[in-house]
Amino acid sequence: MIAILAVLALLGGVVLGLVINPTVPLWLLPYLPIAVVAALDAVFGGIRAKLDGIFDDKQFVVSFISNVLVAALIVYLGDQLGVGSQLSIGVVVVLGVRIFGNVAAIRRHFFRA
Amino acid sequence: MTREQPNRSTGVLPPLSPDFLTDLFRDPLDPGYAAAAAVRGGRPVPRWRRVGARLLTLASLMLIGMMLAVSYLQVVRDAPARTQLRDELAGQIEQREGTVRALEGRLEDLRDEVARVRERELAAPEARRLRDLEAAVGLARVDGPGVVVEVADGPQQLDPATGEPLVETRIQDYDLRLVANTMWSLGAEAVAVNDRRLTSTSTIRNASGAVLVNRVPVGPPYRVTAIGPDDLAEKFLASRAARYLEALSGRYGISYQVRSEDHLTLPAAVSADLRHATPADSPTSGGDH
Repeated sequence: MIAILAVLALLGGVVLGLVINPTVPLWLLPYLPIAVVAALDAVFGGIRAKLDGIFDDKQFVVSFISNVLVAALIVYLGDQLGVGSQLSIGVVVVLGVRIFGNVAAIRRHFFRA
Repeated sequence: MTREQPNRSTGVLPPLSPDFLTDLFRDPLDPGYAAAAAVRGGRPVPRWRRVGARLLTLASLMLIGMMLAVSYLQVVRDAPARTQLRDELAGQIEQREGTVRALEGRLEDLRDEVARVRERELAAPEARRLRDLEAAVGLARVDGPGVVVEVADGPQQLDPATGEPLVETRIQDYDLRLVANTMWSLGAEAVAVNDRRLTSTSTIRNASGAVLVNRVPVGPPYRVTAIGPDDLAEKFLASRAARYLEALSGRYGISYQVRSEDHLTLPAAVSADLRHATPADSPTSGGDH
């Protein structure tokens, strides 16, 4: 039940974003792609926790917000230090590894392989 | 977000893993979930709190969905901006090229004027000698009978391996260089490529696929014009360069055409930087410089 609701909420968000089509302020633009990757990491972590039977709402919300904030902070710091693109790559690699690992765990749940 | 959750039973932190990356690959799940589950244990959570947290989760998911949509829209929106920038730059290049052409025209006019004034001031034999020299080195416009060689790229072929267009079907800088050098060797007095006059310091080069003549890009169809002896066309057709072009047209479909013309006009070379000068031995007849 909650799974269906979650998928509906996600799709609803997509539709809402497409309909409202908000203009992203210029200063926020560099952080958007990184924030999206961080959010995806939170989503896949949540799905895996759900399948493991230990999903926790508070944990999910906190991990989502902190993921996005920390990722944005790292990019911001990198920009100030003049290594913005390299740090962005670092963030994407770490989050990418986590996403891969979580997806692998999700796959094991479904296919037992 | 931290890895070191205090052990609930003993209250001490687990030792910090020395190999963070290996841990990350082995167990990417945020340890917070397991910790939260352990804290919760079997105890029931008040209903209002459960519902509130669930609503927060759904709100976060909606936010994530929106972020996905917005970043997608952003990428789509940026694409035309990039092509617009490109068009703007292309427009600027065209505009500058127009300015250069206008200046070149003016240069030609001024040069004619200089020649006229010189003609008037100098003695006839001197003036003729200067004129001949200028024609020979490419600093003056020349008219006369000559040959026109027209070459153009063959039909585009795709490389079967990479799917990229084959560069071999296009006329390269060395093809044009071969034609121009052959013209010189057959006794041509003046040679131009696409109305760019060649001098002793001219270059025909390649820059990432574009052919540059005197550092100015030229495009197909290429037209090599040469003023020279009457039998220049026959000699050219018998030359190695003609056989080479023949082979290219048979193999890659480039088009190639040689014809004689009774009246050709070749423009003066544009760049005529003064590089070398010696003072005159004696005061010249003009005496005012």
